[in-house]
Amino acid sequence: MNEIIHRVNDFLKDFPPFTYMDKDTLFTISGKVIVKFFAKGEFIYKEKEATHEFIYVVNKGAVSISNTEKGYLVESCDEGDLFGLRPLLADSAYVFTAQAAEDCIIFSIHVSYLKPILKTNPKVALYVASVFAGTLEKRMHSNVSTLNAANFDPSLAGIENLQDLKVPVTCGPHLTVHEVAKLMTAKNVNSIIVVDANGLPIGIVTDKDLREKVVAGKVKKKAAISVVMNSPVYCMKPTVTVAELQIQIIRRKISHILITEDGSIDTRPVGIVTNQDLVLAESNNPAIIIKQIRKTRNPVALRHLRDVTDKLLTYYLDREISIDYLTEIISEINDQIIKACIRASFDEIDQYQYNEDDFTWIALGSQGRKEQLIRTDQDNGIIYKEEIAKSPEETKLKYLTLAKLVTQKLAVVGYELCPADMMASNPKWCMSIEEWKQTFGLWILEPGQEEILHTSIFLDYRKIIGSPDLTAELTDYIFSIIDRATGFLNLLAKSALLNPPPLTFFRNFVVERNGEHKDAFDIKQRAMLPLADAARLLVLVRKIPKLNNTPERFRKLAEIDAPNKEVYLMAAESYEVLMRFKAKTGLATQSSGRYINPNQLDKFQRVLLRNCFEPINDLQQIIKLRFQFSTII
Amino acid sequence: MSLIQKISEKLGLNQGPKLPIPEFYQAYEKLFEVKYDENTLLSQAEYAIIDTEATGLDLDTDEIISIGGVTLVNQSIDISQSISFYIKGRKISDREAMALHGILPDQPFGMDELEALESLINFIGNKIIVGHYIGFDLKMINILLKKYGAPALKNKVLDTAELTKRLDFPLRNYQFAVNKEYTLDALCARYGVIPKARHTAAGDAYITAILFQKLLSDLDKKGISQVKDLKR
Repeated sequence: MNEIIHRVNDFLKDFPPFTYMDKDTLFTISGKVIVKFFAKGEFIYKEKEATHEFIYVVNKGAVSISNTEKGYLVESCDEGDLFGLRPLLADSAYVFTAQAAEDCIIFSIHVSYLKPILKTNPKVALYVASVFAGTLEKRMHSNVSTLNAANFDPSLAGIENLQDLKVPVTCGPHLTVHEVAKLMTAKNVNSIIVVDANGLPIGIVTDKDLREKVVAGKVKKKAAISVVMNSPVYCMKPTVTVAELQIQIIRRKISHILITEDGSIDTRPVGIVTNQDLVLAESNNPAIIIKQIRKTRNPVALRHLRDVTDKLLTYYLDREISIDYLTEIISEINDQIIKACIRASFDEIDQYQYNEDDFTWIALGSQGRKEQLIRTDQDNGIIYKEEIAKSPEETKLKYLTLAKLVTQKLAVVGYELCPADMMASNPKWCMSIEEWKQTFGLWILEPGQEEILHTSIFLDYRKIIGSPDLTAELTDYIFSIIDRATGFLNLLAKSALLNPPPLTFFRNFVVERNGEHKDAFDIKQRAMLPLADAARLLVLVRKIPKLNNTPERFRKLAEIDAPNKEVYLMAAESYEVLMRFKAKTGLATQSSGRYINPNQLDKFQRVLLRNCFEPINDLQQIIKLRFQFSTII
Repeated sequence: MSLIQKISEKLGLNQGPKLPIPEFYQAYEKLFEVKYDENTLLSQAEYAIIDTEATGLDLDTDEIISIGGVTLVNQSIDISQSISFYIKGRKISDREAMALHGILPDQPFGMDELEALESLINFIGNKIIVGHYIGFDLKMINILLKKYGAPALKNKVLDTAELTKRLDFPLRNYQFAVNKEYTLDALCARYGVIPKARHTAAGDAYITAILFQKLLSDLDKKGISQVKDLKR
């Protein structure tokens, strides 16, 4: 009895086509397997290389199959996947490149053992043929969109739903500015597309360009229009949705998007969409929700509006709408709800008069970082100015009264009360600016373990309502003492290193070993916290103010720390993917979404999630280097 | 081995009639006549990764129950070249060991001791021996060799526990190494190798081989790429 053959056999038997083989055949094949290790980045075979006499099965790790010449990924092979089947077809050379995307163990099986089985076992033959066809198909349709939108949300509707998609007015590049202005007036349009001799778009001129450049005298009227035009024109496909158009208009700060036959500037224009067209098309969109929130004071109604937001969020997540846009709108909605609750409370409290210049309501933790996509616990505080006419105790009572009411209202909306009582209704976190400074001063200059825990939540404070001077004053104070706080920074750095990348060498997820969430992967603790902690620490060291959002922090770091740019950009992207995962899981399971079962992820999700862990290690190296930790901490 | 035997052996008294060196060992010995090229790349070297299971941990009284091994040649583990055999007639008294190995006392099946030894020596050849905490296994094998009149093993040896420590502590400050973090189980957990068929000699040899490949790749990244680089 050879346990090694059993081991190989046990692995193979769970994956097609080996599942279709009879026991003895599979056992014989298992005994002939050759096991090879490939470190991440090593090639198993390359394009145009003569085919090997083996076919391959991924035992551990992941392999990417790609077309290196044209630079696209054909397929990502995970545990149990078959690849490199060309030799079975008697092809003489590989068409794609197979590279270890991670450290891998690969089982190789000589084709001479498989060929006879293909002839006698139709199921095996069919499976092998389908794998082969699948790869081919992916190659042909590498751009296929798998997104399915629900129809009833207008923001997800196609542009055919716009009132009328205008056909753009076009002109040649040699017309003068003056001639073009006349043409635009005659056609009653606010933009014109400059096209080349083949009718392909090379630029766009809008009313605004004419106003800013020509009327202001920067460009002569007789200048060629090509001098004034904006180039290249931003183009999209006719199949885009209203939401996608909105996003691009906001992100790129443009007012017009040209629709061309295939979405590139190499095809002819078929329509033009303007900012205003989109406004008309909106109904159930974030702006409308925000408007309604502003008009509402009743927490139950606010809860309903927040529920609607969850629905919108679900659709956006399904559409893979970019996370920075999502966090922007969802945070705005969250903020507006808090503001509505605060203002409603003003009206309900008779014994005190509140002035928004005298205090600041701050959001802490993930809400402070604008990362709260779904409703979670409240984390908030109040910073107020001492009032000369009142005793310190009276002033504190005044704001505590407000905070109690606000936190209760927020609980009704669905933001649960914080179990650790990190809320403005707790006298510890409802303080005058001087008290806050003292508190932070103590945390930073005489830090201990608990203080570090606190600062990781409190340092991400963000003003929701009230005077911006108070948060600015606090930030200035923190920055003024941070240089003296080597011990604090070191502790913060250590705590940022507490959670190593959540993968084993062979890329298994580190799952929880005990408790309610046994075998689940804690995406917040293991993946998001290390990234958020690293980002916070690194911007604090560089004294970058008013930047709370983790991806934004990384993008800023990428700007100022050029040598590590790639790491930061990857970290930013990873964090966004993780936020998306967490929000999706949360919405699907009606929970915070932090626990994910790796076994329930599909292959693509698993690979995506794993890739997100990559920057954690790199970031921790940067921190180790920055804080001069030796390898032994 | 009785106490008197032991003492007399230490004093070099108990030579008795000398056994002839077995044929298989003579063939094995010949393989070492050519001096090993220390410039051989670690990736090109040939390895025999082995593990033995014994009735217990006492070198004097315990015996090898089973032997497992795989080869790593050309950076490949060829399963068809792997060995796994049990030695016939071993009496296992230690209940814990029984439970551990899932073997019944007075194991009826398996190979004769000498046959097993011969197969093992043929399997190892002049390859570099690799194992996890391999010292004990080597001592057991050498005792067995001696029993049949053969000298000790001549191969170069690498220990995966030592190699891991070496990678973890580039400054060689091994006093910081926590031993329980270097057991095969701990390393399996660390590297995500599923410890299937653990505590069978062949199963452990296979797992050790997988770990060893990972270690080789990590060593290579640190510029340790030739056999001579592993010398201290």
